[in-house]
Amino acid sequence: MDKKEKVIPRRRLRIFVQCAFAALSTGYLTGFGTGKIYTGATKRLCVPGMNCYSCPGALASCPIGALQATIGSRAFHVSLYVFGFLVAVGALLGRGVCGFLCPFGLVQELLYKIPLLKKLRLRRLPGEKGLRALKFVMLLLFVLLLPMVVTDVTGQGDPWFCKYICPVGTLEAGIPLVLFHKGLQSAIGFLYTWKLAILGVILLLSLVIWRPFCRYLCPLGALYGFFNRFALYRYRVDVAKCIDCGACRAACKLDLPVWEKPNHIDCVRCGACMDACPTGALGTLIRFPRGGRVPDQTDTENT
Amino acid sequence: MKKTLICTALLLALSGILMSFGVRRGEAETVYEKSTSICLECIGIG
Repeated sequence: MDKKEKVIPRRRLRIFVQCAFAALSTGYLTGFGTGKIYTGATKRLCVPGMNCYSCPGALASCPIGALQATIGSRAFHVSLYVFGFLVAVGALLGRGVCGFLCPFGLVQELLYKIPLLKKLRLRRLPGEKGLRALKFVMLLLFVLLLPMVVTDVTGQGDPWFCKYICPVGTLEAGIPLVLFHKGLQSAIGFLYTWKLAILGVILLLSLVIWRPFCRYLCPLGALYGFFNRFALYRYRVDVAKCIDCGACRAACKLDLPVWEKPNHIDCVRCGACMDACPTGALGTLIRFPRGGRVPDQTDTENT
Repeated sequence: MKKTLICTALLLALSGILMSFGVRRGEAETVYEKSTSICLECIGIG
């Protein structure tokens, strides 16, 4: 069996899961026809990835939106419910959520596949390290601290990340709802234009760099990244098989040293490194079909 | 590997406890209320 035949099942499986989960997360088709959002009981639950709860098709809530809504509410300033949910998902999948279950990640990946600007593709931007640290600022400042501390006279805080940054809300909810409702069209101001500009930059960047929102801005990815080392779905390197060829890093669209840190905080588990490994030294605890063969796992692996 | 699996199990147990307390004190209802009306901040209007 040649290499091409081996790697296709994993890639196909991932794109299938991504599409299926995006369809499931935004499965309230009536909403797209009427411009009204879903109000069923499942809105009490969160989806694991970024998916705005004001999207007309959203069947459940966005965890980052839900976190800010609870933190910024009068009654609670700490969210046990949403934080507990995020710990559970993180413990099971880590940033596997980003690679498999996030609709906005899928959108960015599809844009990156457009061959139009293939020659302009970049592995990293100038100031990459600092830019990657931005997502932790988003998490600590915009998602946790500001909604908790900056409150109005009634004791309620704004969802700062949703309000000033989140391009997912603009794409999934802002654009469709404004198209549907004339009242909202008349209320458009600087904030809408600002958020539209952020979305535009992210989508344009997605044409030349892989998943710019996930690598630079996503607070959910920043949080799940802490779980990569402990998650049930994590990578392992069989050091007996690894020949230090660097093929995994060359294949990694996030330019991560996979053989040294297979569970790097930025890894979104796309699996490109496993496809590229010539010796099958990379594996997971939850195994994927790889042409009927799975990498051996020994007690000498790096995790 | 065993240590990491134990860590995962402990995290799952912790998450279960956190979610139970959160639901009991009404956080799920807060999420429901917020998510069932159009969030003007989220869409760039509010």
